[in-house]
Order: sequence, then C-alpha cells, then structure tokens
Amino acid sequence: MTFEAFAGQTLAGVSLGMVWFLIAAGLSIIFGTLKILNLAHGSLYMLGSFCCYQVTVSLAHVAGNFWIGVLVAPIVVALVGGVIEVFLLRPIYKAEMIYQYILTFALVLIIGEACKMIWGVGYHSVQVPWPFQGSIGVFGLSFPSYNFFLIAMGPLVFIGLRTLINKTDLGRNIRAVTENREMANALGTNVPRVYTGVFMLGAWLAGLAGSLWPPVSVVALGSDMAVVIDCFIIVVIGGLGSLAGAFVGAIILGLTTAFGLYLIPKLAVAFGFILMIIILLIRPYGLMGEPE
Amino acid sequence: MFLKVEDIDTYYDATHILFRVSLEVAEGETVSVLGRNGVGKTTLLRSIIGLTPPRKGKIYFQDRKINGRQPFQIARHGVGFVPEDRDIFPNLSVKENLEMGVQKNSGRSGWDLDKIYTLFPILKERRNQWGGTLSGGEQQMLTIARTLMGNPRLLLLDELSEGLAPLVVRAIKEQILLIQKEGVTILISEQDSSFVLDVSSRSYILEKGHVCWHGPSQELRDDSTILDRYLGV
Repeated sequence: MTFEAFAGQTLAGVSLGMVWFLIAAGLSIIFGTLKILNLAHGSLYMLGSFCCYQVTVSLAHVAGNFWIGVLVAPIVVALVGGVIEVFLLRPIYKAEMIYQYILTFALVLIIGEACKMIWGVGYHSVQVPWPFQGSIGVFGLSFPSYNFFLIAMGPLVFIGLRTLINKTDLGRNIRAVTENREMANALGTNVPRVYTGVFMLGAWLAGLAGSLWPPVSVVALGSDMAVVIDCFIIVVIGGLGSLAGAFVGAIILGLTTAFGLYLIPKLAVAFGFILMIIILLIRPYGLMGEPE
Repeated sequence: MFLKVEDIDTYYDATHILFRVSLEVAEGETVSVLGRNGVGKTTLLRSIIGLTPPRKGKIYFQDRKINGRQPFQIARHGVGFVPEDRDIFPNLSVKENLEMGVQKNSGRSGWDLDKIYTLFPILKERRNQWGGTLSGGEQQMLTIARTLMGNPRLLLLDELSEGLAPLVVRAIKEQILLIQKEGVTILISEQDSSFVLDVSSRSYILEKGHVCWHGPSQELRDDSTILDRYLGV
C-alpha cells in the first residue's frame, strides 16, 4: 500500500466516520433518554438526503442552494421526528420492547416507500458545494477539500452536543430525565416534552448527516438500512448512551470500512461485524460504556 | 379543604393496593400516615402526586381536582413529593439536583439556594460533588431540599427515617420543625410512630389499604393500645 493510498483511505474513513457519528450520536441520545432503539433512524437519515437533494433541485439556479438544503432538510426531518414521537411512540412506551421494534421497523418500510413514491428508484447526485469544490494539498498529495469540511463537522457537533448536555438547563433536564424520569416528572419537569425534544434533536442530527453526505456519494433508496446497521455497530462498540463512545466508535468503524474496502473488497461488509465481536469480547459494555 | 382525598382506589397493575381511602389535610397542618410495611402508605402519596394515579375516587388540592393530571402538572400546582428511596440524580451535581426542583413562574417564593444552604450547610459544602457520592443521610437531605426549591405549599414526605441512623433522623426531625414554621403543609408517612407523633397534629393509620383509624396524634401518644393493635409486631 502506497503512502498516497494510505492517506487517501484514512481521509475517506474518517470523513465517513464523522458523518456516521452524527447519526450514531442521535441514535445513542434517543436510546439513553427514551430507552427506544430507533430502527428507523437510518430512514430519517435517508429522508434528510432526499430533502436536501430536493432543495438543490428546486433552487437549482439559486446560489448556495446546497447550504439552504443543509439548513432546511434537518429541520424537516426533526419535524417528522416530532410527529413520530408524539403520535406513534408516546402511546407505546409502556408496552414491551418488541412493540417498539415492530413500530420503528414499520416506519422503515413506510418512510422507504414514501421516498420511493416521491423521488423514484433512481440515483440522484448532489454537486460538491462552493467553496469546497477544490483540493487541498497535504505532504505533496492533494485531497478533496469537502472531506476536510466533513471531518471538521464531527468534532464541532461533538463539542456542541457536550456543551448542550453538560452546561445548559435543557441539558440538565435531559440528564435528569435519563437518570430518573419518574422523579424528574414529580419535580415539575415536563417529561413528555423532553422526550419529544430529544427525539427531534436525534432526528435533526440524522437529517444533518443525510444532507452532508450526498456530495461525496449519491442519494438513493437503501441507504436507510445500510446506515442504521453501521450506526448500531458504532454505538455498540462505543457503549450505548455514550457520546464520546459514539465518536470513537465512528472513527474506528470508518477507518475499518475504508481500509477493508481497499484491501479485501469482497469481505468489506464483514469487517464491521468482526470488529464489533472482538470489542464485545474484550469489553462487553463497549469502549466507553459503563457496566450496568 | 386544602387537600382532600375522596374514596380513592389505587392499583399497581392488577394488584389492588388502596381501598376507598379518604383523607383530609388543612392548610398549615402536619398530618401523619402510619402503618406497617406494605399497607399502602407510599401508594397513597404516589396517588396524590400522580405517579400512581387512582382508578377511582377524587383528589382535590386547594379545591382543584388534581387526579388525572400528570405528576409535573400536580407538582407545578404546589405539591412537593419527597420519595422514600432517596431518588436523587446520582450523576448530577448536588447543585444541579437542587436546580431540578426549581419551578419557574410558579408565583410562589421563599426557598432559594441561599436559604437551602443555610438550612442544610452540608449541601453547600458538597454542591459541586455528584449526588451519588453523598452518604445516605445527606442524600435524604438533598431530596428534601430539592423539593423545597419548588416552594411547595403541600409537602409529601415518604418514610424519611427509613434506614437512617438515629442521629441523622434527629437532624431531619429538626429540619421538619423548621419547615413547618415556614407555613408549609405536610403529609408525612412513617412506619416508626415515635418520629412523627411529635411533629404531627393528626394521624391516619392504614391497614391493608384501608384507613382503620384517624384522630389527633395526641390520642396515639396517650393511648398506646391503638398503636400496639395496628403497628405492633
């Protein structure tokens, strides 16, 4: 493997990891607070991709249309998330886990079919936006600058979320509800509203990831399941409910995937699972999770 | 009536816990609920705060019907609940735990951080520690202090003395006397009558989910046969 290939795969792996982190962070926060494993989280990501694509098409002649999409699409996805939480999830919190899986899996099918009806089965592409069309030279090699932008988004969102959760009143309420929902409720915290807020935040993150990834890939059906499986691996590796764990897990899986694809393409799909098995054997509660 | 519980029936899933329980508390009064373990004392308080809503009957607080509302709504009306199992938030700092009790725009005032720290100096000392690092007695004080931060008009105290050393129980008793002086109405449940008979004016005794006796606490102090019958081992 040449140095150029090594550096290229590293960059690709980390940028993929950072986009995954956005999705996994939402999945992890939702699981931590609502105790819901949202199988439809990848669908929210895919919906974000299609929405952002739609904005770039509808505003094809408007300068900065991609960035308008990045602004609008996550909000649309967050609103869809809000509707899902209030009208569908709320009635089943007290039911057994299996009902949550059935419901969120039904959402996978519904959102998938809805996207198919609206945008069809073809592949759609989104142009790499201004000002990241060019390349950046590192060690005499040149790399697409949009990847550096993606890589910067990860730590930015990570720090933003950490600040929100650890330093604000809203974050304190979220942590309190996560630790003891009943007591927070009895003290006057509007727990259902915190639930809706957390689900919308997770959906917004998925929508953001969905908006940011298409310029390096394509917008197409099927990305929902692919992404949600990868993000499950990430949160399991990192430790469910741990933001730092999701961050580290995302980078590890991103690199594993990128180098796996390069070295043994036929086995690429298996690498994530092998990695998960190895880490779970060593640390059953994930890298940064705490034993129950 | 300040608090009026009218013929409530409360269940945990299929288990019938409270049977047509009625109870009244006047403003400024301290009333105790006595009974052996498992007779429904905790369930009664949880019914009032809405965590285990009654299936039948009505609960009025300041002449407003509160059963059927969410716990956070009942709390915002001015009902403060202090749970028996010291349900603090272990991974929130002591100060954050106290902040969780604050109810903005409630129109009620009196308690704030400064006053709480004066009443419970140990909490001031430990304000930046995680709640989970406090001792049992300190956690119990934190649960009381946290609820006081919401300036409740009615305080529901559930088995405060359970599992605490006698010295800590005495300290908590003194704090209850201070809280009484602030004009807070208190409904307190206890298994150990010696702790509450001195601080309450009236008592209710529960047995198997029924109110089997109620009257002035003085009578229970004077006539030990009643206590022996319902609380004796």
